[in-house]
Amino acid sequence: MVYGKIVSFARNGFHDGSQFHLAYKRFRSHRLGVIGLVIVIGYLFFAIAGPIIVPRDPTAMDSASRLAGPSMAHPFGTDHYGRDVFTRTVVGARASLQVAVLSVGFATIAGVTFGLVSGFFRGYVDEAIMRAVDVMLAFPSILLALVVIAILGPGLNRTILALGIAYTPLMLRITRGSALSVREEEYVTAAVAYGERSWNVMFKEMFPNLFPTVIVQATITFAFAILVEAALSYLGLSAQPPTVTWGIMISEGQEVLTVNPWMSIFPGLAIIVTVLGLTFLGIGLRDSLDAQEDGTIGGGFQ
Amino acid sequence: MSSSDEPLLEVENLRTEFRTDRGTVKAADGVSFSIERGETYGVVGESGAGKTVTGLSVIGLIDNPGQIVGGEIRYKGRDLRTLSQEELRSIRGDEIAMIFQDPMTALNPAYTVGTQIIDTILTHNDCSKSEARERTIKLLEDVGIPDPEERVDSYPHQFSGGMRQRALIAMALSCDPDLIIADEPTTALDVTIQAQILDLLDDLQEKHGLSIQLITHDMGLVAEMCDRVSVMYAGKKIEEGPVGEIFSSPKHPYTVGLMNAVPRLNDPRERLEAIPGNMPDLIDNPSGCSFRPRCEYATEECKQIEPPLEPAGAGGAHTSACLKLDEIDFDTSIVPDRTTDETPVEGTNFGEPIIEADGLQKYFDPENQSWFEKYLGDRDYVHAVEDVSLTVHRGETLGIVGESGCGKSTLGRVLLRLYEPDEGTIVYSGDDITEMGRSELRNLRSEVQMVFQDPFSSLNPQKTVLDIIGRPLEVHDQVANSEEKRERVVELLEDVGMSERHLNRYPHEFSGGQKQRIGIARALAVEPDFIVADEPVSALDVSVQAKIINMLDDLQEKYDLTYLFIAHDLNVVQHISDHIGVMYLGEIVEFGTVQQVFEPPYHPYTEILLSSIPKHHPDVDEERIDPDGELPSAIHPPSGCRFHTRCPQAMPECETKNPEQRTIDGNHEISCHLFDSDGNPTDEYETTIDVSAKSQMVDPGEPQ
Ligand SMILES: Nc1ncnc2c1ncn2[C@@H]1O[C@H](COP(=O)(O)OP(=O)(O)OP(=O)(O)O)[C@@H](O)[C@H]1O
Ligand code: SF4
Ligand code: SF4
Ligand SMILES: [Mg+2]
Repeated sequence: MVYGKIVSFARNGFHDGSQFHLAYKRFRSHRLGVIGLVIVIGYLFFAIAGPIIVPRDPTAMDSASRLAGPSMAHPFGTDHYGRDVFTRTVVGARASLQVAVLSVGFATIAGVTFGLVSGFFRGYVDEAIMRAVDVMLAFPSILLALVVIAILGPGLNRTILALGIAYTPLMLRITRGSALSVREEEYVTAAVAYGERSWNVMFKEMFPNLFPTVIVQATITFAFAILVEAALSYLGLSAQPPTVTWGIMISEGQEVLTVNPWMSIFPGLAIIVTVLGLTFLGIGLRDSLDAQEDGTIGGGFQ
Repeated sequence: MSSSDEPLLEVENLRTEFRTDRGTVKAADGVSFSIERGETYGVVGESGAGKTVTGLSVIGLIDNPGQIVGGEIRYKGRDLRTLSQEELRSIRGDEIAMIFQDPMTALNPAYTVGTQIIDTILTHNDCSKSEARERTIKLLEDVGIPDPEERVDSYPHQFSGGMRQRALIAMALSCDPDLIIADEPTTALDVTIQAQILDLLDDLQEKHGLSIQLITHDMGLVAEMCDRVSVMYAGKKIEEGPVGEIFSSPKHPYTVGLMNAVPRLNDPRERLEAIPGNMPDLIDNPSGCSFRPRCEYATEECKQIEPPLEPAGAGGAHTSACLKLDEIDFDTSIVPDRTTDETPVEGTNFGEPIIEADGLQKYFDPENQSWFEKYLGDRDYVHAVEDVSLTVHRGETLGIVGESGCGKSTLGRVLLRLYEPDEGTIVYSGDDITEMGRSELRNLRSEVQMVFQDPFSSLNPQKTVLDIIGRPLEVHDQVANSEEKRERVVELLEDVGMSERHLNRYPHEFSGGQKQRIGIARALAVEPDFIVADEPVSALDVSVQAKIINMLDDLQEKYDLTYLFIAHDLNVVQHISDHIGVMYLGEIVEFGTVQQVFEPPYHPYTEILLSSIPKHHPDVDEERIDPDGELPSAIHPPSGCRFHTRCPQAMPECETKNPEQRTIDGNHEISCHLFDSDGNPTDEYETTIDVSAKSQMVDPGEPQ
C-alpha cells in the first residue's frame, strides 16, 4: 500500500504547479542535494552491480603481490593475502546496502505505523506508545543495537534486526510529531466525520502529508545505518569473514597500517563519501520538500 | 516642520508591482490619497484588492519580488521614496507606526513583551534602559493591560489575543508616532474584544492627536471609526469620500454591492445580494473598468475607457470612478432596512426533533499538563462544554454564537460524536448515539455531516476534487463503480455552483470560496439530514460570504436539511437561523427564536454581544456596553454565574449561586439571576441598548 502511494505520488505529484513539481524544481537548483544524489546513485550502482562488473574475484589471492600500494593492476593496492582492495571495496558496498535498506526499511515501516497510530488516536494509546519510546530513546541507538547483538549474537542478519529496532523509536517519534499536527487539520476530522475507517484515515489521508518528513528522516537514518554497520563489523560484531564489508576491511587493514595504509584508507573513504552523499541528499530533500521542522538532521545524532 | 494646513501624508499615483513566475502583479495601480492631521482614514475592499500593499508601500516595507515602480509618497512634505534606508528606518516607528492583523505572529515568542517594547524605544530614543522600562510600563497601562508592572515580563504566549493586540498598539505608540497604519487590527479578535480595541484607538487618537489609516474589509468598522474612506478594487481606488456620504449615497456599483452583501440586524431580506463573479487576479486586469465583468450596468463603453475618478455629489470631497455615474440611480439600489411594522419571516412549523441533547459535558486535558500531573498530581480539566441541553428540529437552522473559546466547536463535534461526550445523551431521530457501537456509528456518518471553518485546512492537499468529494460515496457504498462516482461528483459540484472542469484539480488551485464550496459538496455527498456548519463563512470575503450563505439556504430547501450553524458574527447568524443559542464558557446562557434573542429582555451577555457589533451606518448614535476584561480560562471557570467577572449588572449572589434556567415566554430561555422564577425581569434588570436603533437607516435621499 505504501509502495502504491509512492507510485501514485510520482505519477500525480508532478502535475503542473503541484507541491511535488515545485519540490522537484527546488531540488534541481539545490547544489548540495544534487551532489548527494549523484553520489548515492553511484553508490547504489556499485552495491547492486558491483560483484558482476568487478574484474576480479574479491577472495582471489595474488601471492605475487601482497600489501602493494596503488598501481595500474591494483588501483587501490592489495591486502596481506594479495587480494585486490578495489574489488573488495566495490563488493563491500553490497553488505552495507543490505544492512541499511533492510534495517531502515524495518524502522520506517514500524516507526511510521506506530507513529501514525499514536498521532491519530492520541490519548491513552499515544501515552502508552510514547512511554515505551522514551525508555528506548534513553539509550543511544548504537548502545541499543549493541544490547540486541549481545542477546542475539553477532551476524549480518542480526545487525539488521538490531539496527532496525534501534532506529524504530527515532522514526516513530518524528512521524508522531508530524502526525499530531496533521491530525489537527480539518480534512482529517472530515474523513472521520464521513465514516472513513481509522486505518484508511491514517494511511490515505494522513500519510501522504507526512511523506516528506518520513523520506527525509529515512535518508538521514540510512547514512547512520551505514556508519554504524561499518563500526559494528569493524568490531567483529556484524558479518564475519569471508563476507566482505568495509568495516572488516578497515579492521584487517589496521593490523598492517604502518606497512600499507591504503588497505584502510580506501574503504574508509568509501564510507565517508557514501555517508556524506546520503546526508547531502537528505538536506536537499528537506529543503526542497518543505519537510516538517522536526525532520532535521539532528534527529539522527544519537 | 511644514505648515499645518498641508496634509500629513500625501500619496500620489502609487504603483507597486510584484514580479512572479506567472507575470507582473499590479497590487497598487495608481493609488492616490491623503491623510490629514488627526484624521482617521479608512481603506476598504475585499482581500486581494491591494489594501495591505498600499499600507506597506507607505513605510517602505515592500520586499522582493515587490517593488514600488512609480508615484510619490510625501510625509510632512518629504518624499519618502527618495530617503535612504537609514532615514526611512528612523521615520518608521518614530513618525509612522504600523499595527498588523495577526497579533499571534507579530510578536516574537522568544522575548518578553516588555523587552520587545523596550528595544523599540531604545532604537529610536536616547535614554537609559530603566527609563525605557518605565516608559514601557506606562504604555502598557495606557493600552489597558492590567498589572503592567508584572505583565511587562510576560512572554507573548502568556497573553490572550486581545492583550497581544494591546501590546502591539503599545509598541506602535512607544515612539510617539504621528501616523499609525492599522492593517485589519481587529480581524483576528472577538467582537467584544474588537469593541474594546476600537475604543482604545479612539481614546489614544484623541489624547495624542494621531492620524490613523485603518485598513479593513469590514464596512461596519469604517462606519464606526473613520472620517473619510476610500474603496479599493483590483489595485485601484474606485471611490472616496466622507464616511457619511459614502454610506448614505454611495456612487459606485462595487461599493453598493459591498454594502448590500453584508447581512445585518433587522435585515428584511430572504436572500443576500451577492456580487457576481470574483475579483480579477491582478496580473491581467481587463481593459477599461476593472469592475466591468461583475457590473450589472456595464456597457461597451466601459470596456474601452478606464473610468477616471470624478466628483460625485456636492462639495467635491466625494469622488467615484464610474462612467455611468450620472445615469445609475444608486439610491434605489441600496437595500433599505426592515421597517418596524414588518415582522421578520419566521418559520414556526418545524418537524419533529432531529437531535435532542441532554446534559452534555466535555472536558479536555489542558495542553501543558504533564502526564505526571495527570495521573499522580492534581488533575485539571478544560471545561469546554458544561451541562448543555438542546433540541434541534427537522428543517430548521439553530445558530450557536459566543466568543472564541466558549466551546462552540466542541459542542458541534460532540453532537456528531466526533468527540466522545463525558456525560449526557444525544438522541438522533430516536436513537441514542452515545450508545452506538462502531458499525452503527459508521452508518450514522451518512446521515450527519460537518462543514468546516478553514477552507485551507479542510481539504486534503494531496487529493483531487474528484477523490475528495467521491470518497464518502465509496465509504458508504453509494456508488458501484468509478463511472458512477464521477457522475455523482459532477452533480454535487453543480449543486454548489461549480462544474465538471474542476474534477481533476487539486485544492491549492482554488480560491477560499471555491474551497468552501468543495467542502460543502463533500458534506452533501452522502445525502445527510443534519449538518453541523462550524463557522463556514468566517474566513471569507463579504461578497463570497453572501454567495455561500445563499447557497446554504437553497440547499436546505432542496434537500430538507437541518443545520447547526456555528458563528461568531451575529449578523450572519441572525440572517440564517431560526433559533439561536448564546454560549458562554461552555454553557448556553440564552436560547430562543431569533426575534426573542435579539429583542429585550436580553441575557446581560447577549446584550453585550449585540452592543459590540459595529454599527452599519456612521450616523447611527448608540451607546456601547463593554464587558470587563476577556473570556476567563475554562480550566478554572468562575464560581456561581460564570459571567459574573465581566457582567455589568452582577450582584453579590451571582458570585456564589449558579443561576437557574428561566423560561421567559414560550420557549425563550435565559439563565440569569435577574429573572424570577416566573421568567419576569426583576427590579434590578435594566437594558440600555435597543437593536432597532442600531440599524436605523438614515434616509438615503438626504446626504449629510
Ligand atoms: N482537543 C482539545 N484539547 C484540549 N483543549 C481543547 C481541545 N479542543 C478545545 N479545547 C479547549 O476547549 C475550549 C473550547 O474550545 P472550542 O474550540 O470549542 O471553542 P470555540 O467556541 O469553537 O472557539 P472559536 O470561536 O475560537 O472556534 C477552549 O478553552 C479550548 O482551548
Ligand atoms: S464604469 Fe461601467 S463597468 Fe465600471 S462600474 Fe461604472 S458602469 Fe460598471
Ligand atoms: S446571573 Fe448575575 S452575573 Fe450572571 S448574567 Fe445574570 S446578573 Fe450577570
Ligand atoms: Mg470553533
